[in-house]
Amino acid sequence: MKNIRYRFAMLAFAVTLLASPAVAQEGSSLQSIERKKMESLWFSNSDNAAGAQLDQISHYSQLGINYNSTEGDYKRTQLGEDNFGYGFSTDGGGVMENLKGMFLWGYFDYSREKVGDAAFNASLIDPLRGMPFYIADQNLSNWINQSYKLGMKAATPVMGDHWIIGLGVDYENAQGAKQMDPRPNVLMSKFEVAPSLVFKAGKHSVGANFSYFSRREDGTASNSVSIKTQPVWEVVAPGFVSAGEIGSGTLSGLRDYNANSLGGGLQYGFGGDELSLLVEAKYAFAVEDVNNNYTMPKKIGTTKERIWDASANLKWSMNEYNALFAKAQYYNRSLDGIEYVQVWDSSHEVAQWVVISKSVRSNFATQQMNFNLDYMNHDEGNAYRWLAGVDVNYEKMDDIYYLPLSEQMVENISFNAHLKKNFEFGKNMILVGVNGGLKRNLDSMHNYTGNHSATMIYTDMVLRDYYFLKSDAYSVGGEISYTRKGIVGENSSLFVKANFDHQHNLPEKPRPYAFNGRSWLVIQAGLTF
Amino acid sequence: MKRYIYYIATFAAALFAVSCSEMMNDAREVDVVEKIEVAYKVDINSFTAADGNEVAAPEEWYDQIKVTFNNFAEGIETVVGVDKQGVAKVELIPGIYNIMVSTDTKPEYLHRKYIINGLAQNVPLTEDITTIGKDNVVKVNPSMDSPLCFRELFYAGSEGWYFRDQFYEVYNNGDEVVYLDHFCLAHLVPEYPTTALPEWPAEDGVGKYAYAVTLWQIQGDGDDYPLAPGESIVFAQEAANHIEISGGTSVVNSITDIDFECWTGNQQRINPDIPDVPYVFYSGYIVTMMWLTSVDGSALALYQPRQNLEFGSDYWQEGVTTSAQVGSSGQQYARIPIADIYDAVECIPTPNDMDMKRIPGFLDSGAASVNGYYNGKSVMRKIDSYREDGTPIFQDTNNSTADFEVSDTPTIRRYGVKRPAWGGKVTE
Repeated sequence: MKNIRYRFAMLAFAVTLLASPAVAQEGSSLQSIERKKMESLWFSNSDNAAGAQLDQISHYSQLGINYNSTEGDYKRTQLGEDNFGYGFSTDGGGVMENLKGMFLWGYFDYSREKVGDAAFNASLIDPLRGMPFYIADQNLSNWINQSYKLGMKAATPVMGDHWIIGLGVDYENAQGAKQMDPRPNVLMSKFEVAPSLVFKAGKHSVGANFSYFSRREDGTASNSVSIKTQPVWEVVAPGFVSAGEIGSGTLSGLRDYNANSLGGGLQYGFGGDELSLLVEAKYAFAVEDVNNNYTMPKKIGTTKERIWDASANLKWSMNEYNALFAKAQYYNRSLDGIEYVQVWDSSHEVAQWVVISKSVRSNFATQQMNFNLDYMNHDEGNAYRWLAGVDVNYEKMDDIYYLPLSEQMVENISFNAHLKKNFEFGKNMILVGVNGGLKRNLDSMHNYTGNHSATMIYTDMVLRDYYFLKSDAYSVGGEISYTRKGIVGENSSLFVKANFDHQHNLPEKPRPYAFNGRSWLVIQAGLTF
Repeated sequence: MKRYIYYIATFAAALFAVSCSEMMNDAREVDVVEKIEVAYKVDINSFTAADGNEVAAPEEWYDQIKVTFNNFAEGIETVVGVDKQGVAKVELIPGIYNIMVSTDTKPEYLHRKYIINGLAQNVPLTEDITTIGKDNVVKVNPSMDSPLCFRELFYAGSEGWYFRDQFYEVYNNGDEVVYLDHFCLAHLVPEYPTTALPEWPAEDGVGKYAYAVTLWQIQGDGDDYPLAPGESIVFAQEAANHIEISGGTSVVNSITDIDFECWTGNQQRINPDIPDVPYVFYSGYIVTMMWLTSVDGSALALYQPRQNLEFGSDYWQEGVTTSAQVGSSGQQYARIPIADIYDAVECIPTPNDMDMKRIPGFLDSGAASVNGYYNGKSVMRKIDSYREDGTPIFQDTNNSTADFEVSDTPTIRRYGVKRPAWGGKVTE
């Protein structure tokens, strides 16, 4: 298995670095790659790898290292308050003329992050990924997380004037180590494959893709200081927990997650001289089992997730130097939390937990509607001069625990605007960008009837998260980058880049939780070619 | 070779596809939870009254009965009364329940008080049960109120893995002198908390016997050890100044003024000033270095066999005074008639481990817990009222969940509890 992963990693990495440009081109830069991706509707907006052939992306590669830092209390409770990390990423590819016009693209990302003072999580590397079954503890703790992720997209040339076959493959491996008792060492791996097909007829094309992923994540919350037990909660939904002690009694600190997802999408594309359009509808059905023992598993729960996603993407080349990009998207996610009634059956030779009843006890629904509009101005070069855009995002989160009936609803809308100006002086480029946004709560409701309203996990997590989610906020940010072309080769460039974003709570009165702000800083340096 | 690899890969892929699709279909079929209707009958068995006659439970006793449906996993407790037929009706969320029968006040018959307790443990209730059958009945054995009770139990030990400071205090909660001669401190089976309960021989019947791994007996002539109301005695594995011995980690200062050590033979640790009670029954390997009960909590009982017993004597007869678990290697445990138990207390690792409860509900329908181990905490009985002499009367409803509270400062003879005149140092 390690050998397969190694070969796959090498293949993905090689694809990103293939140094045989398909066509003669100008020097590559961050801005030119950003523009290239915006103009490639299939590549950037669809899981259909075959469709990327229609974008006719010219070859590019980029690689860089990054440092990132996040700080502030305006966050979901389970996220760290003071985090920093570093990473390495590379991606690249395009239409390969020396492979008979085949499209190949790959990426590799590595990151290592120290999450500082995270709370109420002793099971999951990403506690906000939508998994309601986990162990929460009472200690603020650091986590050391690291992951690598790699993947590729490949598409044949157009065969028989009509057909394109494509394949997308992704693999992710992550590790998260909590630094204070109860401390799990969580391992996660995910493999995803998405074969696809496109039928092209003139300017019109239709596509279909299938997608499957398998994800495993497991770790055991245990005490390295075994003389002291650690109080924890076994969480099945926000506010619905059972208390126990790691190190005493029957509570198992293991959470073994096993997910499978099946899905697919249908696409329609139109590629005119001035106008390009991509409409996509996709659906995914995922089931994830959670057990607490490898050899004699007791089912902790199962999630059943349905995701509908529909989007329309438009590119309008208004004239030689100006273009408009628009995207409208609807997203609907519904996740059922299934709980089990089980009895221990010791009547057989192999004693085991037997499920005698199961039912959907909770549902977590999210609806999103997003609209983005971007204007791009460029000259004869392959980068852009101006990029300006606005987006409006609507989100409604509806959570319910059926018995005893508890509900939470939060409805938000946010408006964001951004502006970037790229200054070019010979072989030098400086990009300056600013952005700002406003998030407003439209409606909210919280009704909790569980038995833990006086416990920390409710007051300091569930209720705090509710007030965070429904809070109003503004955001400001900016980016600056310097690019020097032609340092390594004619088409290459060297860049350094810094992004800073800050989000701040607009406090309501009375103010039940004292949120302030949160800032993100990312510094990158690398090469494009 | 390639062909075999191809076959294996195809077979593995097929297996994977089948298991993946089974997992998805299982989840797809699940419906949203709905409440279920449950009827459960309380059946009070006939009992031997103070005049020696076997009588049926008076009808008015049913008016006092309450039935508690406790879903410990979800922390949901539903309490209802019963109708004239003793049937409790309730709407519940599907789950595993402990169904506990109790009364707020002890019902009386012929001027004597009785304890009405029953427990059906770990009952899966997942669909409507509206008709009464053999599976939805709780049988209750009324027991005459006992004057003796465990007042405080310190089993968890202290920081630094220190467990030699364990102690158990027994109190006269009644209004008459009780002679402790022949009383045994019984360590019940299973010795350690577990969800896997042992199976005992069918001829032992249901609810007729409890089983012990060790019996420590106060041996006397019948009137050597009087215990007056308001007095208590303390058993410990070692009468010593534990703060000194433990290097400061023990929370128990000095228990040199206890009444009995449970001695197993470790001469180095013995306190010659404190009398030893001998073990009269010891199942399996005898640990001679110390008497240690589980720091996760044991189940203990006060057993009165009405005679002095001797370890290894002819008194111990398989199937009569001892019994072996079904399917075991034949290891014998003391077989104790329930009627001879004066008090029993179940201790469990944490309050959420009620599924580890070991002893029948009519002995203890609940369980006490210090919520962990080596945390220097004890469980002590709550005060109900006071006698005229100022000594306390403790709550004793045979439900340790309700009767006990946790103490951060384990202490013997608190609240003005007295020590019997004969207690303490060996005078001979």
